[in-house]
Amino acid sequence: MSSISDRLATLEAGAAIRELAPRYADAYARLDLDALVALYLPDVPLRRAADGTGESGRTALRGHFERATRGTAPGAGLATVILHTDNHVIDVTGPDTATGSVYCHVEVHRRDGSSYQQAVVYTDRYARHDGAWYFAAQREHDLLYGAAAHTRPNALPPANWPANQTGRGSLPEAWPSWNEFWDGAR
Amino acid sequence: MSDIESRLAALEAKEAIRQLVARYALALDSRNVPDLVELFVPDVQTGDGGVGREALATWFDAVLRPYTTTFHLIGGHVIDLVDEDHASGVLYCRPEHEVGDLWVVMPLQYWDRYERRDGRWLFKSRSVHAFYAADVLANPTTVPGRFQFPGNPLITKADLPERWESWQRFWQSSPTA
Repeated sequence: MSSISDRLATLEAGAAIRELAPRYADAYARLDLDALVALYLPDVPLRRAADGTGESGRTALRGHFERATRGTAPGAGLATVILHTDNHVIDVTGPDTATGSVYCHVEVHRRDGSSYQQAVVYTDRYARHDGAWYFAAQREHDLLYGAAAHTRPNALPPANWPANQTGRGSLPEAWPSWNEFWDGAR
Repeated sequence: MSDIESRLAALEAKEAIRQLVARYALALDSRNVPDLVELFVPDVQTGDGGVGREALATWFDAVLRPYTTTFHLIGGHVIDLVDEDHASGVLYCRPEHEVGDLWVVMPLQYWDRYERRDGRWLFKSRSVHAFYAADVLANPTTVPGRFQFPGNPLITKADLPERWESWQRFWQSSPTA
């Protein structure tokens, strides 16, 4: 069995990683974009653009969040953002690396008074840097559905998220096991 | 076992059990039955009298087909360690289910027993106790029996809060309020 010190370090890593999800939610709700990007590695690589170019770092990431929160049309910016997270699965993959997934029930009220709810699953990569744990990449956020208040998601068209906030998402069909389950009747 | 050892082991047990319930929800919602049954003890007893993970996979297969998309958002988790290898727990969950044209919300508690086998914490048993089941557009208090979940082969009624003895005692002592 590992030493007391190693076991304690594993528990501490799990506790630190678990806090990243509510810290992200809190910073997002307060629209504190500096606090939000501080949860990521300083040189975090961003998703590659369609033309294959890739940016990195917190400043570039902050620009991404700026566009997401202010919106592109008058009134489309975010007023109230409630990211209720739980179901944090954490797999430690090395002394300084881990992966995980987080469930989130999203409720957003836009500045124009419109609102929607979403069911989202984040898939994360984490890394330890100078003793603290950070998001090591932009969070993969897969949508099950987004729907306006008092709306059944069942018959909604595909959201093509993140282009649109409401509609059916890529989940559950994007889970390989989902398709295997329905393809194979026991 | 030293004092430090046992305190550390208790923290490790609770962390492992918290991971267990999160992995259950993900495996269930992604219909990953092979992963799901691996979370149970190898000699798990199924609801229909079977024993073992293969029997549990067959049991889950039938239970999981009458609805499509599900999203099991969990919440508060009480974990009571009984001894080094046994624990019990109560876990809140607010699952959503796509049931044909309905979108059924069913707030519930899981009543769990956990066991550690070969160093791994696993489910010994898990039972579901619903507060209600109702379409997202319905008022749960006006749904008959507070239960609207057509075709659910496993959960057929809402048994909380009435099932709690403390709840019964509370209202029996002064039923007027």
